Amino acid sequence: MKTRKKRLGLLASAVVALLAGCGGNGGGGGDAGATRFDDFVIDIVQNGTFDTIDPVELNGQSFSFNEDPAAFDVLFR
Amino acid sequence: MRFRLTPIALLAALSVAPPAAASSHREAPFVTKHPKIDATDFYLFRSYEDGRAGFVTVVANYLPLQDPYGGPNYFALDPDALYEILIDNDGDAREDLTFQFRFQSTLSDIALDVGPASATKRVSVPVVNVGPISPGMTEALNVVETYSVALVRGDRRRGRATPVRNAANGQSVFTKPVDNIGLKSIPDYPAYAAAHVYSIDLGGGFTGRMFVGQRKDPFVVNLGETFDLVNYSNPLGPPDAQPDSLADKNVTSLVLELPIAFVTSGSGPVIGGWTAASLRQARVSNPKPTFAIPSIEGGAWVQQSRLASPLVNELVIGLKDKDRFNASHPKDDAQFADYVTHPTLPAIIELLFRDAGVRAPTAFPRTDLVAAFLTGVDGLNKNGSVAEMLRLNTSVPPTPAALQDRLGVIAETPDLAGFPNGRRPGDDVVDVALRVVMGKLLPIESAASGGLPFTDGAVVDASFFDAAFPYLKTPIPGSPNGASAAAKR
Repeated sequence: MKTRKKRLGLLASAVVALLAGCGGNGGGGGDAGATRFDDFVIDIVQNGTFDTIDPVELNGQSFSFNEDPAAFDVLFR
Repeated sequence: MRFRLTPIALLAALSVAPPAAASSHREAPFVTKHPKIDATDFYLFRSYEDGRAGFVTVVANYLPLQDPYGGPNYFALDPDALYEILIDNDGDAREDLTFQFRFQSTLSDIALDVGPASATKRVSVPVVNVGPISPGMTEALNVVETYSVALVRGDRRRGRATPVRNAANGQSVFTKPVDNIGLKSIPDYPAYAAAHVYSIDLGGGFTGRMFVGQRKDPFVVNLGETFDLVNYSNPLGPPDAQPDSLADKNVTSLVLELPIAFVTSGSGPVIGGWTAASLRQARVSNPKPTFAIPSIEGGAWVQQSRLASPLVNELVIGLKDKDRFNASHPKDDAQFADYVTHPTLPAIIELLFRDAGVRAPTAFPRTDLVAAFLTGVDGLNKNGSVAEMLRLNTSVPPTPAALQDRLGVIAETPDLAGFPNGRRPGDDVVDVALRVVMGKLLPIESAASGGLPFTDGAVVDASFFDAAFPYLKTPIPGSPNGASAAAKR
């Protein structure tokens, strides 16, 4: 029983590692399910700039980072 | 056998003094990355200028440790920040009145014709002024800083906002004087700054006064030696034996004078006040920056600086929680209660000076500190909430400047118009705080060192300031060179 659990654990770890390896976008890498940081920021700036709302909670969120220097150009057009 | 250590015995044994600090200058790790929104001191007091006893004055200082010669850009406030002065007037630890300040820097882009007549080029100058400035003559200014103020009633984010207007002309945009560049640029800075004191229309028939601009930093402390493992001597000596490290520093002040009838709700005379500053949650640096758009900032406001009573985040809150405190709101202060009920500062003082006989108070929880910092003092300025704010009982008459005692409420003859019933510029809050944390308000049985006159040795009193609005002194000029050195002496 213990051996089976151990194998399942190893399999899960491998899947997570594989997903993490595929999760990068332009060299930043990142965790499976991580939010793209550029998309997150652009959305905040374009859709969340109000005096009357609360900030977005960051603790517990994971981000993947895009090293494309043009990633935020949309904000300056 | 229990004994009370005498000052003489302590002096004989000590070579160093208990710690003090700059009130809230660079007090938390994250805010040091954003000096323009770093609140340094907060004052709240009945106006003691002749003829203004019906008003309270509120001062929120920002942008610490300004060297007067800090050109060419000097110390403009952040146009992407929100600066707030908040007042709770019903004792629920939530703001009822919030003054929100937003700043804007406008470039005149003064240019000069350079080159021979046949090939002249008009080129922008690199400095903020190209000639002398006076109250009626500001054309030589290359950058003009203006601001607007919104008065929000109720929740600061969701309440009803109305613009504060100039009572003289109805305009809602005000001008902030440029910093005190030097005597050649601004020969009469007091007159120039005085031209930026505004009479403001608060609505409902109420008027007040407002000034925003650079001032001489009013806080007084022996800062460098304090943080060098308390590297100074004579802790029970004269209160003026040590130099003031901030003697040659300026600061930027937001000053309001408001009618008492306006700030009180009618339910009681005690108000609580604090200041806060926020930035937008996201900042994206512009890879091709311009003067107007060095970055794009967006999202909700995120509070990154908070200040009411002096020294709280500096010396009471643990290092790991300082940024969290700066982002927090008084109504949620229960999360920080342990820092007040079981403070580390007295324990640190005892550790440093145990061999000399200094003992921290032994009464826990420290209800005396809870009263001083979290609830207000019973019978003086208690307002029903448990939250860190500067409380002022507006029914206590102001003490004229010449009669003020720098030790305020704990003075031998208590001056009830002083700290911690609000805070005036001349209140020596470092000495007051040291004595109170060491047990000044406790019986000797639980505070063996509570009767000692602890001092950081850097004195301040009302004579350091003007006795009229905006009370804080003219900033030290950046030039000529002797001006700053003279201030240091």
